[in-house]
Amino acid sequence: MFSRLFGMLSADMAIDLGTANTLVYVKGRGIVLNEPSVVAIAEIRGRKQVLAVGDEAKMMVGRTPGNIEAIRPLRDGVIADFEIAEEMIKHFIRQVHNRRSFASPQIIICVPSGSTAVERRAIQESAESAGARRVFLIEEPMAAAIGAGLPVTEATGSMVVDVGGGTTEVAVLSLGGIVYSRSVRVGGDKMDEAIIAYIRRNHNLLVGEGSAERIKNEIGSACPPPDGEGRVMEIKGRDLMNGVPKELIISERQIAEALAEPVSAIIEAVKVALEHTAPELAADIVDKGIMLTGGAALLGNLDYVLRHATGLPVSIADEPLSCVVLGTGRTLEEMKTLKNVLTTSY
Amino acid sequence: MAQRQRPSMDRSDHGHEPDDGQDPIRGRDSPSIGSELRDARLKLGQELADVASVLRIRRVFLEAIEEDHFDQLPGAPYAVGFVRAYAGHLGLDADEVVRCFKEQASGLERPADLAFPEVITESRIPRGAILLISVVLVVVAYGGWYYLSAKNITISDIIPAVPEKLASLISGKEPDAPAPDAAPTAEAPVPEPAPEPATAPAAPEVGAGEQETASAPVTEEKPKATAKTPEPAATSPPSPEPAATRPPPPETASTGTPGPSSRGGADAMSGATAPADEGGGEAPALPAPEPFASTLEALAIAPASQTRPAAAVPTAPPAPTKLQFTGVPEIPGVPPRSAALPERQPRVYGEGNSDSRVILRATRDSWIQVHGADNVLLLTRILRAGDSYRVPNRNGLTLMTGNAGALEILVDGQPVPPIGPFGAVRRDVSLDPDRLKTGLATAN
Repeated sequence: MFSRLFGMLSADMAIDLGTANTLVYVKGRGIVLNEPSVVAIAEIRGRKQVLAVGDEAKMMVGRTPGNIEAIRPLRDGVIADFEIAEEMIKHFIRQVHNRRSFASPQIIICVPSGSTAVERRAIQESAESAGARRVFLIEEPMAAAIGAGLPVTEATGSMVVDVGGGTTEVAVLSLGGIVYSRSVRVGGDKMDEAIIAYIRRNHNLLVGEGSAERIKNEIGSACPPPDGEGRVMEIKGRDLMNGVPKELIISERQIAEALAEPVSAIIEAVKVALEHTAPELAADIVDKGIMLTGGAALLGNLDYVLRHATGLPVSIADEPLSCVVLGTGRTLEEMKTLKNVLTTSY
Repeated sequence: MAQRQRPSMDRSDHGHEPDDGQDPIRGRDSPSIGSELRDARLKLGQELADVASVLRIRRVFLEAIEEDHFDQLPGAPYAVGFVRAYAGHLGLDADEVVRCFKEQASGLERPADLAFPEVITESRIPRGAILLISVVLVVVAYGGWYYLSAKNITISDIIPAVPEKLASLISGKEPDAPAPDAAPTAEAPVPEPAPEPATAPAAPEVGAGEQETASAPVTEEKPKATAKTPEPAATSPPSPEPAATRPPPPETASTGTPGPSSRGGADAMSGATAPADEGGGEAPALPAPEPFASTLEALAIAPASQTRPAAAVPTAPPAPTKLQFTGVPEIPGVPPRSAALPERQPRVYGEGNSDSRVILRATRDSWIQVHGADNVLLLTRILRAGDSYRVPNRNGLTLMTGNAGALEILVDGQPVPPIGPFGAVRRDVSLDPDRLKTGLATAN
């Protein structure tokens, strides 16, 4: 009874605490926040204080003076810097949660399926100390599948590939549970790193993380174009040879080459998952194919490469970036019926 | 995020250049997205089988899309994905095609119902039935208790009394039981027969006036009586002669009857009623039984020789009446008290406690509870007005009562100071006779 009362008074929320972006879904209101998971910390008179969070902090990444630090508290899908992550969650909750509602909210947070118990505990505790009444955890592939609208509770196999910022989750789901899941720590971040490394190696040019992400979004492709160089783009950075800023033009084919390694890691994960899938479920998946979600699913031709490598139909979800938070939000809305997918370490 | 482009879609297999600039769908009033897709495919000169092999989508699904049989597709999210892939493969604006597809295919926006497989519950008594049955049981139990308490029926009342046949079988107990029963009312029966003998002998007295007065001084020990009738006493010596001349029965009668009857002397009636009062009843009562006993002895001896003449003589009847009186008084000893409460017989609890020193008697209804030394419950009940309880002669008894003023406590037959006012609740009242006498019973 009390939980219902608190539910009315508090804004329960679902959080997709991603490596790249954090999305917050508030019960009855939908997605209310979508900001990069970046925190800018300023050290003023020896004390560290939060300067900015989200978009504002992301603008500072790589451009900070000595006393300011722009930090991404999550790496590879899990919390790397506990204190900063806690500050970030607190900030987002405060931003979203109505001050007038005096009951603290119930929070559902996604965790990668491959995360360890310690990592889960860390995420849960930081949410609790950020002011949550109760914290539930949901595994990311399940949230992604629910968000993509897959019939996960039916007696039919569904395969979901969630390519996020830090991790790629491959899972086969049936009857409301995860039959097989595999999490590889390859995602958008690794692609950015691969682009930076490629440009430095081949062009002696050092580009920042932000630039690398922009390149990936604009001309990124999982496979080289059939003929020619494909689209081209101007990039700016620092020349490693003489140390001066430099500008050069890079083509789609080159980026596809750069991305070959992380993309093949993703394909490998999918193939391994398919190998471990029971034949009946594999038969279902042959018909329906693979559902691709996550921000990196928007990488050009990733679906084509996967289709080619696996021989299965590959569909990209409607809103791949927000699939996970939508699924988590739906779990929050239908807490009673979907409670089975939640875990809590109480 | 950059718009995804799919120039590579058509590369090796088909080799045609997609025209990204133009959008075949926009600007046309196309009711069917399936026919649009088919037109686009035919325009590019591709076979359905080729598309199926490139997209890895089964041909039946592609046919279903082209023929707008969306219900044959595996599910809403997959259908959207297939349409998006197909449109992209054909070089169309995938997002626009998907938007049109969603408009045309009803029910795609609705998220799939997620119902987790439920655990089959084992068959058991439904919770509602358990609740209902327990409520009924509670109501019945309360109703029964209320009914019994409203009618003042206790379990001991429900148990029938021991039938007389069986009571007579209880050998040792029976003679004992009536004895103490009569004891508290011992003074009552004695004055009771007094008036009757007074009236009964009155008949013979009429006949033998001198004889009666003459015989009076013989047994009468009261100085008053002797002072009052000195002359008759003086004249008495001659009277025995007439009495003696008469048959012996009057003699026996004269020895027996005078006790009570002659006490009043001239005012026989007033003398008879006076002993009926409880106040001074005891003094004359004590001598009274002795004359009865003597009459009995006399009757036992005398009739042996003179029953025949006694029956012949008209004055004989007093003797048999005397017999009746001697027998009767002990049985109707209780009636005078019951006359005060005609509707109910006062009860005496603890009748077996013959050595009782303390008697609790209720003048009004009062609940009492008597505990033994080791907190053993001896009695708990409501004493109705007139009921009494003979407390066993034991040490360490305590009394709890709900109405202290309604209890009259007798120690060795003597009333002791009350333990509290009317309506007062008293707990742990010691039933030690000495403490009761000193009025310290309630002080712990």
